[in-house]
Amino acid sequence: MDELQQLRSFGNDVADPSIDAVGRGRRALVERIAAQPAIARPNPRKRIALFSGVSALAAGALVATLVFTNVLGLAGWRGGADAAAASALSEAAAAAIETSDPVVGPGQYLKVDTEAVFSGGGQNADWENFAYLGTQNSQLYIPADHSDDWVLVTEPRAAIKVFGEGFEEEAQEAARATFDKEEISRAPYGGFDNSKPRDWRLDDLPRDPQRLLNYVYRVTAGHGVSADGQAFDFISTTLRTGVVPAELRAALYRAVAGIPGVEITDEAATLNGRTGIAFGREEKDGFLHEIIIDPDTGLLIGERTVQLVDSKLVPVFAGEVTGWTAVTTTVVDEAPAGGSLCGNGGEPLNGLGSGQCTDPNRPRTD
Amino acid sequence: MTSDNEIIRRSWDNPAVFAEMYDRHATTVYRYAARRAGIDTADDIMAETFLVAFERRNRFDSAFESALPWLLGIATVLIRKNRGAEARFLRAMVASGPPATVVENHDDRLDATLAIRDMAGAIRRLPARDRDALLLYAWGDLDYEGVALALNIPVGTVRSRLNRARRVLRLSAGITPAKEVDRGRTSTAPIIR
Repeated sequence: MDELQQLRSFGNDVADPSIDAVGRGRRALVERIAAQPAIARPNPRKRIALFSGVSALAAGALVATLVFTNVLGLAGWRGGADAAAASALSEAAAAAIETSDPVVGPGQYLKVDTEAVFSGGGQNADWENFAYLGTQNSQLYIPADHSDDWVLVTEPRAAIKVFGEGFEEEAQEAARATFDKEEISRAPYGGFDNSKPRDWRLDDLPRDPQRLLNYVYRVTAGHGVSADGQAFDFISTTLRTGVVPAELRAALYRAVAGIPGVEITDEAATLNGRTGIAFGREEKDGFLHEIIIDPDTGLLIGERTVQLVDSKLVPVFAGEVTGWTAVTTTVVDEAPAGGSLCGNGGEPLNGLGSGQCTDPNRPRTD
Repeated sequence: MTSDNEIIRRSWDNPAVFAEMYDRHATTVYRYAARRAGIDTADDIMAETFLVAFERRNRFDSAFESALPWLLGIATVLIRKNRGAEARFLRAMVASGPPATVVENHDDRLDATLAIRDMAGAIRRLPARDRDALLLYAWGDLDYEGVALALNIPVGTVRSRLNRARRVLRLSAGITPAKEVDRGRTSTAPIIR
């Protein structure tokens, strides 16, 4: 045992905080948050109730007092999506089942191409706030035989839109920080960065839409801004992995139809050149969260987030699209060569227990 | 799941969403603090870390997806401010070994228990900056880059601080260095900051 392992062994089994302490800490935070005037002012045209900070706690309490099962749960208690959305989702589900999934033959790869834009922000040396939209694109190649090398290509990032004049340089620098080169990682079972095999645990998800939605409410309870919003978030996060088989995709669409507040928010939403129907939910966090589905094929085009309030710190206004992910899944014969377990030149921390990679030569941009 | 940086970014305008950071990371912050300063102090460090983080949420560098290095960095500053508690905890460990509740009653652990008493003394005497880097790495389970983010220092500096701290620990625990030959003086002298 070397000195680090000895040090790590100490307190490995230190207990988790008491429920009391966790509750006290959370109350203190929620009180502090409540004492702070909301920075955003609700847009009068799109007035939404501001989250009170209590509902997540209330949801937590619900978990403590109700026994959820997949059969008996929250789904359907308080209605569901509006009628037009529910019907369009049902049609998309039917189309999804009719469209067969691509078959990955021996030696081939399932390629998941993800084009994503996220909103970032920071402060410059003069304490001025800035915000930007940054790219976060990647391609994941999953081999037919999962014990072969999976390959993950991560593209360099860039800021594609900067809010406010004079912050272009800061924004580019912030977006690129440590992600300024293309990186190729490869690992059997998708265990990139010396991590555990990649497993989306799709087999855990019930295929019956009602049970599926109960399952989603159960595993997300107590998190996020609202139970319905978190369920919607869980489903869109699952869909955007790009690896969801048609039958489960159909069930997820039907489950979305059971979430209150979901409506058709755009009949013809275009993302990355593909057009589909946007199903969205206005969340109390001040954002409209959408998934976009091609109605003809039932394929997921992607997801999108629209800000509903004007920011006060930065010039980002209601109606601004502040993030999206477009996902395309295909079958290909080859994956790029090169790369290592930990990307370009990074090495696993050799058996020191952190299970992470490090690249000692990676420059920092501060 | 929405990433930490997205949530923090959203909390600029909608402070309430920040509570999600607590739900995600409070336990990890607590465990780190408990290992450094004992469970009595850890409750307060956990709570205070998120109050400070909330006040500084628009200074979080949102190019990084995980907020954990940043949060553990805040916890580290709070532990340092509360140096008395950490020093008392380490002194108690030197005197009587780690608290019985945190070490399994297991033969293999006996050696470790003895060694940790020696180590606790060495950790106490480390310069604060080396101690922070070492314990974020070993107990905060961050990688080099995470430690660099937490302490807001370059990765190269993390590496040299860790090398120095590990050498001191090795000597204190009586572990013979495998290859490394100790060059120059080892800083076992107490440095008060």
